[in-house]
Amino acid sequence: MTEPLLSVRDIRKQITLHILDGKQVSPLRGVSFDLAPGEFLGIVGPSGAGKSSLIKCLNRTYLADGGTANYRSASGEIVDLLHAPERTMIRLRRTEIHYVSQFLKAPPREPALDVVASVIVNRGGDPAEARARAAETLGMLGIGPELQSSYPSLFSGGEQQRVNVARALVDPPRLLLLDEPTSALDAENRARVLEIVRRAQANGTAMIGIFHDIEMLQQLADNVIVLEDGLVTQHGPIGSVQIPGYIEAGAAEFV
Amino acid sequence: MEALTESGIRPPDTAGEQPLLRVEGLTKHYQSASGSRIVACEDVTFDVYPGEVLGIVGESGSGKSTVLQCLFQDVIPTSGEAYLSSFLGGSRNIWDADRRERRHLRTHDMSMVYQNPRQGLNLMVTAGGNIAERLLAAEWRKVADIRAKASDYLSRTEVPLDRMDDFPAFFSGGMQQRVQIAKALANNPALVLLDELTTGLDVSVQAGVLDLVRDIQHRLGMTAIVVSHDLGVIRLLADRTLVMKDGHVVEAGLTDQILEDPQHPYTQLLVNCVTH
Repeated sequence: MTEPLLSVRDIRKQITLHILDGKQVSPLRGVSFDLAPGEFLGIVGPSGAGKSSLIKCLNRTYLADGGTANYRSASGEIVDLLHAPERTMIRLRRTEIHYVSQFLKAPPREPALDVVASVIVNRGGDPAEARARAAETLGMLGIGPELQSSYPSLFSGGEQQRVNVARALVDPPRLLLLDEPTSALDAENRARVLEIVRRAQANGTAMIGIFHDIEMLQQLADNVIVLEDGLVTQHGPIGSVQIPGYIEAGAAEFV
Repeated sequence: MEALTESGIRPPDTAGEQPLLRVEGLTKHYQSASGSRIVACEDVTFDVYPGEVLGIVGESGSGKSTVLQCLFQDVIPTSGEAYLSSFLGGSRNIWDADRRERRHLRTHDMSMVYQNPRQGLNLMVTAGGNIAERLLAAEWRKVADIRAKASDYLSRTEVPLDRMDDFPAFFSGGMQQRVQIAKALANNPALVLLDELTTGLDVSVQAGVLDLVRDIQHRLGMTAIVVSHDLGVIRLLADRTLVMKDGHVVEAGLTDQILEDPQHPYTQLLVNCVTH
């Protein structure tokens, strides 16, 4: 068997809300799985099951309270994403791990084209080439030249989501963390995202993706984890896992 | 690997890179008029890496500006050590520097952009003259070079060149701030200290100054410490952030983590006070 790209063991996350008299919530109560290079792992579960918390812990946007997440980097070193030095995380985020939040968080007053091109420029790429590739990627996602030169803060939710996807896939990373990247998209635009994600898959990008859309999941995922109340209740190939009813019900809203 | 300490602060990073600045145990106490001890900052420890922007956030009185004033030698700390790799190869505590070395630190190694342009600029010396002052202090000698550099940085910071020979006293607040930024960057110091650089400006002018700093950050890759009470400024500029309260660092981490998963009660309060 090939060495996993990412090996997650017993991730735990507890949040203490001091502003609510120390109220505690436990979004993750011991989650473990392996991700192979190039694998697409879908994550499903009811809302509040801990799906976003898991992805945020892997990106270190959340601090986990326990466990490890050993990631094998491009240079072959094993990095525990939960505990690596902050500077290491900054480097990995710039070069090989990309997190797509559910909502675009782009800097204000920066044209969509530059928002996307900056990913390549920050990796040391040539600015002119970066802009050309950004234009191509945005175009594939239905964001034309007119929108490319305006600020994403003025865009609709669906357009913002596509800028977010473009940023993730303009230069496909080694590991992509997707938090419901298509929740605000219609069928046509979901198909565009599907196409571009497939290209990255063919390119070898491994992905962990949260989807409420059963169709997207069936077309992309190799394996699926069902997360319930902070625990993995099922994990296996997409065909073998009983996808709970709430997934389809959720997707129906957008069909 | 490293666990969180009891206070929730991660131990310092060691990712193989060498920090540009290392600060250990910085403490500044003042004596009040009645003789009691006032803690401005206590046991502040952090690193800044080359090309990085470190944010320090906290309310007024938290000690965040004191940290910058100590680094820039405006204030001499009660105790603590700081090593800057550009200064004597990082071999000497900057607070053990003699007068001549101290001057060198202020003119060559670091620059400061103050909240109030009056502190950073001589308002009755022309905009170009202010930048020339800084370059002369850094031992630039040729008038033509100085003039060329001054106009280069004023245009980079979008100060109209036909105002170069005017006094900043007659400039708007936003333009004064841009001249201050031009002056701070003109001789390419190793470390730039930015103290509440948008506080007191109109929102639209704030946006212009922030865009300017971001642009410089992208094009010149400066290393900086940004002090602000405004989480929006920190979110936009800083890779990593320290949170200060009552003179102490209560939390440190990646900026997005500080904003999305704040650990300390004070940081949680701060994040939940943001209205946008």
